[in-house]
Amino acid sequence: MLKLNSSSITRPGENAGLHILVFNCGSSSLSYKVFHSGQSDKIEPLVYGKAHRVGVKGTKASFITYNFDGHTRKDVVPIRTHQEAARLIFEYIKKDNIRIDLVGHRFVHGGNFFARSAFIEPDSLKKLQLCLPLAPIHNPVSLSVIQVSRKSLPDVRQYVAFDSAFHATLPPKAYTYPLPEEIVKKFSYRKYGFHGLSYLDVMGKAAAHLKTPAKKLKMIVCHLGTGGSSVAAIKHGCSIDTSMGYSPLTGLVMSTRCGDIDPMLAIYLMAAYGYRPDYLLDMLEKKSGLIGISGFSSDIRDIIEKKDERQAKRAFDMYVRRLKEYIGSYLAVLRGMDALVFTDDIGVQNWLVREKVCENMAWAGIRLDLKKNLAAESAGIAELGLKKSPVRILSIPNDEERVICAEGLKLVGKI
Amino acid sequence: MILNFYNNSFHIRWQARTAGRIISGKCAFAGDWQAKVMESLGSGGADRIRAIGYFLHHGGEYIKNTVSLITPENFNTVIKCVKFLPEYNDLTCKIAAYWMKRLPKISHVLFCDTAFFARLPYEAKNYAIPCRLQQQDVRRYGRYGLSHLWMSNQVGQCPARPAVKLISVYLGDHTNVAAMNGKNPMATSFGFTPVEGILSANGSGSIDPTIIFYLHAAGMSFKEINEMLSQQSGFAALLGNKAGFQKVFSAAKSRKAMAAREFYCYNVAKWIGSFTAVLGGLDVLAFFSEKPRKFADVISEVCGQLAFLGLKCGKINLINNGGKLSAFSKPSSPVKTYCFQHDKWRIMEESLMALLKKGGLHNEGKKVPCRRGYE
Repeated sequence: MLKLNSSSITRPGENAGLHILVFNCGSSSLSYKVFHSGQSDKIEPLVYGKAHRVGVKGTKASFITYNFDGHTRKDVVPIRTHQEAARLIFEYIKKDNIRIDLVGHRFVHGGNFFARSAFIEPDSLKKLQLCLPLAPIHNPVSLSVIQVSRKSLPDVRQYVAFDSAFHATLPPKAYTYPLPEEIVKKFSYRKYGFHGLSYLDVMGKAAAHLKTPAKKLKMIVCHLGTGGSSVAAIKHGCSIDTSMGYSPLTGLVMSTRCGDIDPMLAIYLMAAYGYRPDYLLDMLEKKSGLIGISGFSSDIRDIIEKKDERQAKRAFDMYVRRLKEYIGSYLAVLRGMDALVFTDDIGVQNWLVREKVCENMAWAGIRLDLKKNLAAESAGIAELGLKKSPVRILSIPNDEERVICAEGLKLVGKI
Repeated sequence: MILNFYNNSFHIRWQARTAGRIISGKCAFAGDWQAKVMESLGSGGADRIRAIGYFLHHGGEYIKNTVSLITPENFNTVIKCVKFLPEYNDLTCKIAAYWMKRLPKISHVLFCDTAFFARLPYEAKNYAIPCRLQQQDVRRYGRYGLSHLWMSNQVGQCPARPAVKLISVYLGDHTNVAAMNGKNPMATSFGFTPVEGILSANGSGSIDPTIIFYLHAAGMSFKEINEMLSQQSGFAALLGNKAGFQKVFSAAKSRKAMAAREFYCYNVAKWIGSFTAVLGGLDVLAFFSEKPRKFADVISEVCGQLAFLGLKCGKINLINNGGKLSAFSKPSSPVKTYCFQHDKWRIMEESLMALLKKGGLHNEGKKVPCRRGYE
């Protein structure tokens, strides 16, 4: 049973139903929403906002937005950690006296401990602790936000939704690492894949937009975030390959992660140059990718602004090239496709990334309408392809929070 | 007579062609290896040698020409390359040093297997790691450059086109894919080492590198992890034995063998798709192998997977040594496909002859200065 917080004011017109606060930690951002779930099966956002550039070493300041009841505020304040961001969010919510009945958290990697969403209880909390090293950037920040949240709302039930679940449909040829069998079995080494909540959301939206059931579509979805990015090949409603692996380190060039590298390189650097393992892993996770090449920012928007500088241009070119390689690779996996979809912050907001990625791709049936691409609004679904483009090119904003909210409603038996 | 040497970490192989006859030999690098070479060449053999070629597996950042003349002046550079792959390169240098001293008046030629990829574009050559590491020799070197360059010479020329978009695929123990725009290298599936990319007989191919850190934390030493990735993974791991994975393709009956074959074809097709995107399309897809017939099914399956490119293939016709160039794709296919019998000796010989014809230089009897360890 749910415990309702009786001290809060119930606003007119929303006395019935649940208020679900959802936190979504990106590696350098924290999105949040309060959903209202009433008698009908519709869920409406009551409050939404996002902390940007959390802990980013860049040229621009961090800020946080808060939207409630038609009012928007944006505070430019230093936000060094996700915990600081979460505390600000609770301050806003308490100030406006918004009742919260349930809190949902996104968690990137549930390892072998979690096959589905779960309530946060002493037992599951221990398991979450054990998952920390599996996604060293995301899992610890998610857990830190969970701690702040439990402290701020000690009487409210909280749950976690996992990012790895969507890729459970990968076939063995996509998830296998050809390492000795006893090692694979002992440690459960395989490709897990991430950003599953985003893919699930965008796949549904794309199918609805194309007026074709997902079961009949082949698509490549590029989830390009301000922190982590990945690509997925989705065939007939199922993920069949994705660029991240056992951990979120591999695949695309990301803001601070290196993406694909030669595994022997890690051994070589430790053996020949004497790098300590924890130092080296930290470097590949937090000091590589765009910040590693550019040397001045982990944010692709900063890099685009300075792309006349040599290292910035190289960082941009490598980012685009790696993404194109994956699209080509997944075209072979899918044997052609119906739609190419861009999502998440960079995917929907950055026309230049989309333009460069679609350049010279006519061989694959990808023909971008440059004007439409430039003019596309990031708030809704945008068609970006030429009329005669055999592949539909779409920009679709994702709403991971809505998917997390739906998971919570399933847990409490409302869906 | 042209004499070519090819070595691994402890064996030397050689081949010479004289008056249409092929002389070849193999021995361990020990004791009187020189005598064994001389013996195989027959009496007066040394006097008939016009040029000697040496196969350097890894030229690092120093050697940028796939085929080049070694002179007493530049031999030091070759020796500097030993650090990139000590077990192999050291032997190559010792073999070359011996013959340069013994036959100073003839031409000595170096084949460098990584040099072709020294000209990769920045984005292909480097990893997305901090710049200071890129400066410490950490980059994508590639291998099989001599063969891929040869392939581009065979099929990468078309008078009607400024630059042919070519993907060349080697099928064998160390399967790898290279992309070329005309004669310019654009991508290789090998990385810093040949472990990255497609799985090999015993090598893992691309895996999530965080696994290495977890294994190390679980108590495995770097040496053990190194050995695991390069000696106990790949087909050996998938099949559970080292019996030679090429059998998989001729008689894939067991569940494990079928799965391994599927995994292999899947990855080859993925790399080809990936490099098609790098090139912005594909004109020619060329396969080469020492045992192309064993890979016939693989080639058909991979080509089938790429049918979305418009690729239409008929029965594979093999292009043998010196055989007529003929595609096995249908005339209506926008992508031409070829399949070559690979023979590294022949490639070395042809490449060496081409260099000599161009320059005709030799060392004119200059004395090779002695260097410690390579006297």
